[in-house]
Formats: sequence, structure tokens, C-alpha cells
Amino acid sequence: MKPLIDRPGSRPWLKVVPWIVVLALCVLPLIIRNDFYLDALILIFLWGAYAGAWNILAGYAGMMSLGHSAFFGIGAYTSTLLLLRFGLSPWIGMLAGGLFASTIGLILGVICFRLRSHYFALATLAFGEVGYICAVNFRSLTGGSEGLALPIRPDALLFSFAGKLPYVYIGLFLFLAVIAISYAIEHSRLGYYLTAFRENENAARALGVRTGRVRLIAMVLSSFISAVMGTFYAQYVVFIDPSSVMRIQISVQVALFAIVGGIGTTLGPAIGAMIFVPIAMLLRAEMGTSLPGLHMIIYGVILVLVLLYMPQGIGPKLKEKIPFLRSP
Amino acid sequence: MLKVSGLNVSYGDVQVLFDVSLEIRVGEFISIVGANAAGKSTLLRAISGLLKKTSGSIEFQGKQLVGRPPYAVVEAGIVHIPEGRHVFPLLSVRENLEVGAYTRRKSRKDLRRSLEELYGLFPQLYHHRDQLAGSLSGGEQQMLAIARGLMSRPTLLTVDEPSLGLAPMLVEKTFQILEHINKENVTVLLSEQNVFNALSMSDRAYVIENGRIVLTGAGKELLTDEHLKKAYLGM
Repeated sequence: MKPLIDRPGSRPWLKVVPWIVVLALCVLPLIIRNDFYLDALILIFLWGAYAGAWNILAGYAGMMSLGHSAFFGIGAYTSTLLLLRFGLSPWIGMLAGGLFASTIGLILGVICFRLRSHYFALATLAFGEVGYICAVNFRSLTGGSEGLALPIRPDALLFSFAGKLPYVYIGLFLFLAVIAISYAIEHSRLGYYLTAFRENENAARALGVRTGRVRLIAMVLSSFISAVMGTFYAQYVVFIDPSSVMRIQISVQVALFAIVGGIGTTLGPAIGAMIFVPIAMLLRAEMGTSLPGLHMIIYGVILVLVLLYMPQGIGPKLKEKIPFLRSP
Repeated sequence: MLKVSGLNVSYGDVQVLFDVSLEIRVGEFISIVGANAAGKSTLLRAISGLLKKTSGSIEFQGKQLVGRPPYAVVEAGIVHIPEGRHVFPLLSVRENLEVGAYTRRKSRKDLRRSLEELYGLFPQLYHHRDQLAGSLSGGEQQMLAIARGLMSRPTLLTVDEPSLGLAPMLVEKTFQILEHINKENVTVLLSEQNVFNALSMSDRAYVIENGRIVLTGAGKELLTDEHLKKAYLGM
């Protein structure tokens, strides 16, 4: 079918812009030679991808999970334990963690999807806390609060590298992959079904949409990617303990990034990570000793300001203000 | 085609439908008329499987629908157009229509054909197909809601108060569309407060009061019924 009218702002050259940005992101790590900034990039990619995973369930389907730390932790612990106990490569462990997390996600979904909004959030919050308590108390398996240290012997097959650069590129790949997946969901029927459910559950049901099933698909994708990011974290930081990969704060933070950046949008979670991660790192580097925890206060202030002045998030606001960004 | 018998429906502890029975034959245009809160919407929602506390029998082409989830009802061939339109405002017109085709999602070709047919029936929707549904006018949203329901190719369309909140001219147009759909071999079950219009269009009608069917008959006959004239037509 040929369009009757050209959509306003239809400029074909705009299609090139995203590719230029991707190219710039690919070249950027080669220009930056400073480990501190490379670390920042890795964390932006890590959190951006993780927030994107959270957004698949919470943004598109509107099911606000506050238990996503558990999936992250499951990913980190699964690959690490498989490596420490059986010498299994974390590349395979990453998949195993993803599959394990999505199985748990599926079970959680079957049980909790009958709950709505706040009640679902509370149930998942409890689920996240259960994950934390398990990680602390199953000492023989997880090492409890003392955590697990990963071996440091650079080997690409074992997902372990001497410098930061390989991690930057793996992070960048995961970051772009999650954006691509989000884009694909948003522009596919799965995305329409999820949005329909979020906007009007009864109307969607009356049309025959199996709202439980489509949300389970979102849950499986979301928990799988969260676990993959957990493995990435473990391999990069080479040390995990319950409070670094299973804490409630992680769930809250991932939600915060996505909400401030623009919940339910393709790029919102990435934008959120780009804003918050550098702030946290700079504040910790500059005032980590004199005023520890200051970044949490700044987070709070940003959250309040964003919710007051741009409740849809920063991403959608930018799009509205800068005509150039409006989709071609 | 559809046979409802002894239907009781409650919201929590409050019973709203009492022993409702009705029968619809293939190709008919049936209206359910009655005042606000008489139970019209509840009846349609119960048929579509949206309500939980339902007892009695709803038989559609030999299949028992009581206790079945909404998607099973849609798969059986009944689609419900809810009161107040309820389009998905942040999805485009085309995306709204695609959601309506959920039960037929397996075939892309089928989807394209349904889209083309409906764009033919609703040219404005074609014109606005990439626009967000929330930006349409009330009349256009009502058309979209009807078109979206038709995407699943139902054999029975249940429409709840399509005239609600529409200008008289648009009400007229909505009814014309429904008549047209009915001529295309879709059986229509319409719930309306606009008693005069509904009755003059219908083959048969049921009058519902306080959750009970109190009167039934051919649409045009009912227009002359003394009780009905007094209660609903102010004559």
C-alpha cells in the first residue's frame, strides 16, 4: 500500500543518525585511554542494558517489578558457581544463568501476574528479598556474605581479560543488543499486545488477547537478559557477594534509571544509565571519603525533579523539545 | 446460534442478573434495551467471558461458554465491543487493529486482507492509520473500536452502547455501520439506551429491568407497547 500522505518530518537521511552514533560508540573506547573513563563506559553499558531488560516487562507490559535484583544475582551466581565448581566457561554459564533465571521468572509470573500495580511490585519486592536471604544463608553453595572471588587468569574462552577494552566491547555489544531487542519488541505485535494490556487490560482481553501469555513472554526475555548482565558483572568485577548482586537497592536503581530515562521507550533506560552512572562515579571519586552516599541524595533530587517536570521521562521530553529527534 | 439460559451474574455479593434467558439466530440483529444499571452491559460482559461470578448456561454453536476465558470466547467467534470505546490511545490505528487480530495472528496474509477490507469500510481509519488512536475524534474512535473487533472475523458481534457520548449525526452513522455489518452476515447483539433507534433497527429486542428480562418481541412491535412507551419513550 502506498501512503496517501507523507508523514510530517519524514527525512530519509535521519535514518543514518543512529548508525553514526553506534559508530561513534565503537570508536570512543579506542580514543579514551584512561581506565577510570573506560570503567564508566562499561558501567553505563551494563546498567543501560540491565535497565533495558527491566523495561521490557515494566515499561511495555506495565508490570513494575522490584525484584529484578534476583535475576541479576541468579545470573552472577550461576555462571560463577559453574566456573568455580566445574570449570565451566562463563560464556556457557551466561546462557545457563539466563535459562535458570527465565525459568524462575516464568514461575514468578504464573504466581504473581494475577496481582496488579502496587501489589505486583510488593510481591516482586518480597521475591527479590528472598533471593538475597537465600544467597546469604546457603553458605555451602554461595559462600554466604563473604562472597565468591573469581580466578583472575586472562583467557578469552573463560570470559576473562587483562585490560578493560574487551569488557567495553562486550558491554557495548550487550547494550546495543538490548536496544535492538527493545526496538524489535516495540515495533512488533508482541509490543502492541503488551501495550494494549498496559493501557486497557479489559479491552485487550475482550479482543481475545491472551494477556497472561504475552506477559510471560516479556518476563522470560526480561529475566534472561537481567541474568546475562549479572554474569557480565561477575566476570568484570571478579568478586560477587549477596550485597553487590542481590540487594534490593539494585532493583530500585534499575527501575530508577529506566523511569527517569523514559519508561516504555526504546532508548529511555539507556539514557537513564548515561545520566546516573557518571554522576555516581564522579561523586564517589570526588567525595567518596568526605561525603559517602552523597550520590544517593543527588539521585533522589534528580528523580523528584524529573517526576515533577517531565513525568514521562527525559527521553520522551528530549524528543518533544528537539524536532530533529522525532522519529523519521 | 447463541442460547443463554438461566444466567445469574454477581459482582461480589451483589447479584445483578437474575435468571436471564435469550436466544439469537444466525444473521439476526438483536437489541437489549433498558435504563442505566439495568444489567445490559453486565449481560454482554458475561457473554464475552470477562466476568467471573457467572452461573447458568451460555451456549454458542453447541459450545458451552460459561467459565471459559475471554480468548476462548473470541476464538469461538464472539467479539465484544466494550462501552466507552476503549481504544489503546498510545498505539497507532493500524496497531490497534493488529491487536484485534490476536486470535488470527498465525497468518500474515489473512491479516493484510482483513486490514484492507476494514479500511474499505472505514476510509477515515485508512487515512489516519499511522496516527495514535488517542488523537482521533470520538466518532473515529468508535469506528476504530468496531473495526478492531471485526479484525478477529467474528460471527457474532456484541456492541455495548455505541452511541454513548457521540453527536446525533455520528450516532446515526454508527448505527448505519452496524446495519451494514449485519448485512454482511455478522449477527449483531446491541445494547442501547437509545431505545427508539435500537428498536426500529432490530429484528427482535429484549427489554431488561433490574437484572431481569421483562419483555421481548419484534423490534417494531415493541415500539408500540404501552409499558415501553411510558417507561422509555416518554409517550
